Amino acid sequence: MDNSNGYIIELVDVNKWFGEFHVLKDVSMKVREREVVVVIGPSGSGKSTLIRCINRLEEHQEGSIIVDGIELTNDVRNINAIRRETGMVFQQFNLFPHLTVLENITLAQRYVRRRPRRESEEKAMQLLERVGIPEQARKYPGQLSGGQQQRVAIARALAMEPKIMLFDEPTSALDPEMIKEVLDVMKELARSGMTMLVVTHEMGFAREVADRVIFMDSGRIVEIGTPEHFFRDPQHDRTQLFLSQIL
Amino acid sequence: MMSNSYGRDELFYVAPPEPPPSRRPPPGTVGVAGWVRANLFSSTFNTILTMVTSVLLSLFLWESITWAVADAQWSVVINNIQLLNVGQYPNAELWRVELVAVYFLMLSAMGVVLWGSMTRAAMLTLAISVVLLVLIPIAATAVEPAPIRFIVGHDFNASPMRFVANEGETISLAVEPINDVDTATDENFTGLIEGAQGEQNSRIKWSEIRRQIDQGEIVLSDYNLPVLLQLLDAEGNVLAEVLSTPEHPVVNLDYQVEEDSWFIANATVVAENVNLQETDAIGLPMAPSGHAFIRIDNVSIYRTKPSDLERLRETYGEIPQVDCYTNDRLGCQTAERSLPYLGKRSPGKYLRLQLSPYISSVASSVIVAIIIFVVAFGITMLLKRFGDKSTEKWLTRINLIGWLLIIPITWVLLAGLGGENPILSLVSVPSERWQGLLLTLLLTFISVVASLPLGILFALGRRSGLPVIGTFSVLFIELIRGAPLITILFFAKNIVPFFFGSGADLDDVIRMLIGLTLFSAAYQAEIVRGGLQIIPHGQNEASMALGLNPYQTNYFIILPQALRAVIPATMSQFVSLFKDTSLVSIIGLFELLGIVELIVNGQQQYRPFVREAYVYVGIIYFVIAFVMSAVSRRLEETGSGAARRR
Repeated sequence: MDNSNGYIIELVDVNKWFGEFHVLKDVSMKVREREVVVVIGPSGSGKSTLIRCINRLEEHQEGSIIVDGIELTNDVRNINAIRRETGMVFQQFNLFPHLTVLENITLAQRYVRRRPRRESEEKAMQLLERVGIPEQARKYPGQLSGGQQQRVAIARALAMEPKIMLFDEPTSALDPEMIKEVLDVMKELARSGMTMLVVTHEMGFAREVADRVIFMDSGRIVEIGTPEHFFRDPQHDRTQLFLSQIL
Repeated sequence: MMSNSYGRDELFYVAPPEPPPSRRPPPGTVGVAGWVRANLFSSTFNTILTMVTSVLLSLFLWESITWAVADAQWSVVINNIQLLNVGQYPNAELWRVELVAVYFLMLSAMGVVLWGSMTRAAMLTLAISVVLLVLIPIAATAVEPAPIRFIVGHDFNASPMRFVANEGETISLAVEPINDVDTATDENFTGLIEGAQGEQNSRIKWSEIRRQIDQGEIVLSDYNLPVLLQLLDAEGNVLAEVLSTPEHPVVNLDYQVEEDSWFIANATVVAENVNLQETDAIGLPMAPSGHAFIRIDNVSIYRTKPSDLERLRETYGEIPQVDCYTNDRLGCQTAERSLPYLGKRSPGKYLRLQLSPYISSVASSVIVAIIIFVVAFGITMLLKRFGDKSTEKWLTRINLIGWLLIIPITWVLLAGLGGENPILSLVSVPSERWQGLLLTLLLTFISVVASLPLGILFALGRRSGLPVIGTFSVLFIELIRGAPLITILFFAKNIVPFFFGSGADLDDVIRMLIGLTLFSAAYQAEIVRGGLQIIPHGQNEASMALGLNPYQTNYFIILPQALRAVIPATMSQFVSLFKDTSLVSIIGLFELLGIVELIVNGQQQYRPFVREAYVYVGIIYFVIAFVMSAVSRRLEETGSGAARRR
């Protein structure tokens, strides 16, 4: 932490290609500890790829990514160390359908954190309380609504006690009635001081919770700003066009 | 202007505050009648289809059942159950097969109590298969031969009877009345009417003689036929003889055996010793009347099992030739159990002569098997109910260890340790003598257990990012899948030994196991790969994002889901493996199907009934395969995956 000057995530000139296709072009950004950064942009702009690069679900080809002072290289130990620091929530929840809610949350605690069974179950129940669905612990993911599943997914990520939470469009696959319950959990999380990097289309959430907003288009960062400035007074033509279409 | 075309309630409508109550569906759409109408007679075409199919089906069923009841001669099965089940596994060592069965049954019973529903179903299958295996009549384990008795009548002679006896034994021959009419059974009365001319070409069971006695066809007090009873050696020299006369009908003869050898017992009606003054209605002298009951003790009779024949030839020399007096097409082989009733049968006779002997001969062992299962089940249940958590943990551990050790234990029990082992002297039984259903189940069980993990490894290998492993897996899978199983078995028989250096003496059963396992593993690998492909990539990502390493990801997340998804395909692969084990007969192992050939080759009298034997074997195959697929259906329905939805 100290050697990274208070920045918990640091990207310098990151480039990535899918085959011939240049997805990320010289992306540089920094995230401070306890900061909530929202990434927005049209589909195909590379925002999901960006946050997936941070915990090495995608490999970048050029530039450097430093998370909590650890440089992301091909070294498996570094990758594992970074994955231990970051929790991730997916658009499709990606809960393990063959395990109960409780087992979903305890599995990684037990086999990655090497926590005893009882302790990890206590932790899991605590987190289920926090996301508001302790009564669903013994059910299977398939028996829950989308909103409940996503909250379980958040609890599952939190169980590893990460320093950073990455959200990849967490509400895009949800019915309108369920979006709110997930956003409420995320807001609570933000208030508690978690460092969060959120890819979302929920402008209301960005406006209310974000410290900074990053707008991406065609694989590059087009504009960075505080929510007030960003939404009221966007500078770049592309940002203006984008905002005029969605607001 | 558009609004003019709207009806009254079209544009503005508000439902009443309460929804209307639910009503019953219209009659004729639910229940049996509804189902029949909707599924069998829904349209003209469907009706015609239903009619035609049911007519064809009933014809087929009628033909099969009438054949099975009225024509089929099931004695080939009834008399050879032991051969069908365990082949020529030595009688004296049969307890080892039974011990293996008991071991399986107890572990399964424990497992049914202790494990989850998935494993439970699998263990039930195993138990059911094993119950089929123990269809060996328990009496077959008795080594003490029952005395051989037969009856000689006034108008027919008995064929000479050949048997072996060992040094130091006493052969005893006797002519004596039957004094245990009421206690004699088919089991302790091995004996038979020998070749009654013109009447019936077969030997008759005690029950049949009993019937004749009851109907007055045989009068017991007429056991006064003059008979010369001779004991001959293999060359036909008389060793001892005794004469029974109407005045002294009860005679006996004992002979001390000096050397292991063949002997012949010969009973001849001696006309010159009787009063021939009596004449019949047209003045011809009457043949001597009455019967003689002859009894031979302490000998093992020449049975026609080819294995025994080989062994007997080795020990006692060539089988002596004798003249047969009768036109009995069974030849001079004696002590075969009868072929009860040839010709058309009524259902009642079918039950009495065909079904009930089968059931009575297998019932005892099946009942014992069921009792063992129930007792083991009950004890485990009680321990689980009244013990604490640690008891259950221990039980589970014991059960797990039992299953892990099951293959070595089974193998050692069946193969033996060689007689010299001081602690536990199990005579070694060469694997050529593991035959019948025993061999089929053994091959299936071991190759299923071995090929599943191997298949998973190859599936993961084929998908792995490492080119060397990937290429090796692809090569293995495609090579094996590209060759017929029969080729692979030939390879296993002839090529595999080279890989083991001096392994030229590698057991044939092990070679076949290697062939079957590799073959099944290649198919299994493709099935598992199919399962792996349907698992969304997000599962992998979520697992990695949580910090689980690739092995943990596969073990905890990917494989459980992939394997569950391919349960139907996996089970059908195993069913097909089960049936494919019959191909090992091409290298001279006699499993369930091959043993039929052995039976009819060794016992010519069953040659005409080979159909019945194959039908029976078919039924056994069907029962096991059906249980396997029923279990597969249950596996799909139960367990955590049943609640899965995406």
